[in-house]
Amino acid sequence: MRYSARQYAEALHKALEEKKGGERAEALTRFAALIRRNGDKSLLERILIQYERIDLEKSGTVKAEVETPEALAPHVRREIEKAIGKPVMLMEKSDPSLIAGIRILLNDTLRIDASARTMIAGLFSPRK
Amino acid sequence: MSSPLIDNLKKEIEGAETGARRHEIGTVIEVGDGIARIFGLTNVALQEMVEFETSEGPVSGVAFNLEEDNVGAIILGDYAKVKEGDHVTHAGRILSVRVGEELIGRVIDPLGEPQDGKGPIFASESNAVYNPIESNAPSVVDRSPVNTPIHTGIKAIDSIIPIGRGQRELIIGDRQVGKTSIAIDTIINQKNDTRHRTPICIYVAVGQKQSKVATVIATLEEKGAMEYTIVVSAPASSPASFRYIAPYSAAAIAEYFMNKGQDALVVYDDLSKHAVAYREISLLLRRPPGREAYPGDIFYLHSRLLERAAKLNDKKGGGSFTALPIIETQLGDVSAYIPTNVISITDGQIYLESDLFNQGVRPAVNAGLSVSRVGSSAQTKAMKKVAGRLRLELAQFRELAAFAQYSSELDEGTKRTINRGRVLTEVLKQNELEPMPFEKQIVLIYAATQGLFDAVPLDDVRKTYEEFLSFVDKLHADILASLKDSGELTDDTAAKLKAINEEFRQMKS
Repeated sequence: MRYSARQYAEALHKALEEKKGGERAEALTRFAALIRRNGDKSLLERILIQYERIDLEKSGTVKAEVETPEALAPHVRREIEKAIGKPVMLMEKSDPSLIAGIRILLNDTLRIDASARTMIAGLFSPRK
Repeated sequence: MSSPLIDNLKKEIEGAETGARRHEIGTVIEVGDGIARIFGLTNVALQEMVEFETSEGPVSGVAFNLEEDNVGAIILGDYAKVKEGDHVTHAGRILSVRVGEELIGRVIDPLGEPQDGKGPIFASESNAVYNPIESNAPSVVDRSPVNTPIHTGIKAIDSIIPIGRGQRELIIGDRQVGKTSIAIDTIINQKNDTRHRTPICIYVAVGQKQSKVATVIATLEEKGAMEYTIVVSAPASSPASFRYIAPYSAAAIAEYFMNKGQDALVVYDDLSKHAVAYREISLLLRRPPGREAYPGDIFYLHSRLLERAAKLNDKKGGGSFTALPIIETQLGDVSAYIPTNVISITDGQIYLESDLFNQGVRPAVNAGLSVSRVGSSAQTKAMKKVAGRLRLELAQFRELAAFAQYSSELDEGTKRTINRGRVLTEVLKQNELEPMPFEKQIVLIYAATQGLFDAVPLDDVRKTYEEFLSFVDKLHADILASLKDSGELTDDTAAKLKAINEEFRQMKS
């Protein structure tokens, strides 16, 4: 039977739960051997992405990548955390090409774009 | 100071959306050979366009495989720009192509972008009509039976294997036997067929050499056929994704004209290469391979394309969409996977044979294996009358042809049948790019089946019938005009034709 990346990731997450130090390392080694034995090395990257997603789901944390033209002001950071209403793993990135505004990527799946660059691009987009 | 330009710009800016935009995002986890695997984008629809945000600008793609934890997409454009980790967003629309009258006379790629260096196709974005590349075929209630002919200008086809508007007639044969020539002749002949409205012709080059496509375009231009023709080009050098969508794109354009009540004729050159492009994409997407490594849905690939050809009923505008798919066989093997599939889907086939081609029979149509299942109901009455006898005499000849080598020991009746068959075969020979108007075809076939050329040595048949046609053209143009206008062979016209034959016979003797 073939396992999907999601199934592998769930199994790994269960195996690593409540394990610490040497036990975790041992579990990881066994997991790597299983992947090799099943010939699913090509799934490794997808398994890791799924693992991260499951980990965030279980801990109730939201991963937020925030892009602004300049360094993020502390009050904006607080506002973002308040708006999300859950523990936030916030990563900042400054990108002057945004011109103004903000762009937030949540859990690698949803992007909220309120940057001036996108608004200006929208003005000239041929198909709205 | 204000100018209308600045005022317009101000208005645009005032009306611009300033709110935040929400996008579902995917991430490229694997890319190569025109295919990308995307993690995320869980709400993407099948056949929905996606946009890869690459460091070198956006690249379009189509969601093609929706799997449990990822989306397989085909990249429409330069896949070398797409890198692992790039973000992907929904484009918010199904893969579609812009359609309109402006496309006529142009050469485009399957996405509707101009390829002929004549600049943009559409002058403005206002009132743009986009047709989805994949759409459902017209339903049974919207269709009407095929009842109008589409004349190819090729004697052997218009008489024995007639094609009707809305029909799907396959052109099948080995390489270099004149498949494309038949299609091109048909396109060229449309402007001569003034009795019926000229269809918009679409030539789709799938996986062809660029040089061949250039030759086809030059020929169409030279013959004045580009005035009502669109060329959709996905040559061998284009990505598999382009070769895969090209026929669907052409069908979307043809449907635009059909739904407007016009006629459209689409030549798919060729569907064997289309199947190969689809196999390439499917294998790269790791879909399970079946017979000849084609995926399991290869039949559906062609059936859903060819089912879109139709003759609509008067309520729906009476438009039509005729399809001439081409299939290339290997060593005449029509029982291979793709040829049998397409034969079973279409309403008949024109079978071209290498042996006939090498014997100098051009077009190399095998009249025995070729068939048109619905065309006869669309055939002009006059042609139906003369072709009945032609078909019978050719069939009798084919049966006796094996005995032709013992001609000295055969009875007179058999000898006569064999000779008539040989003469008719000569009469049906035709050079490429020289389509013949149907009224001339009727006069010629009538004369041949009445035995006018029976006494002429085989090598001189062609010269003699050309003299005969020029004689009719010069001295009896009225009969050609009456056949062209009425499309019927009345007893009166038949008597006149008999008299003309006699007159020509006496003139030659």
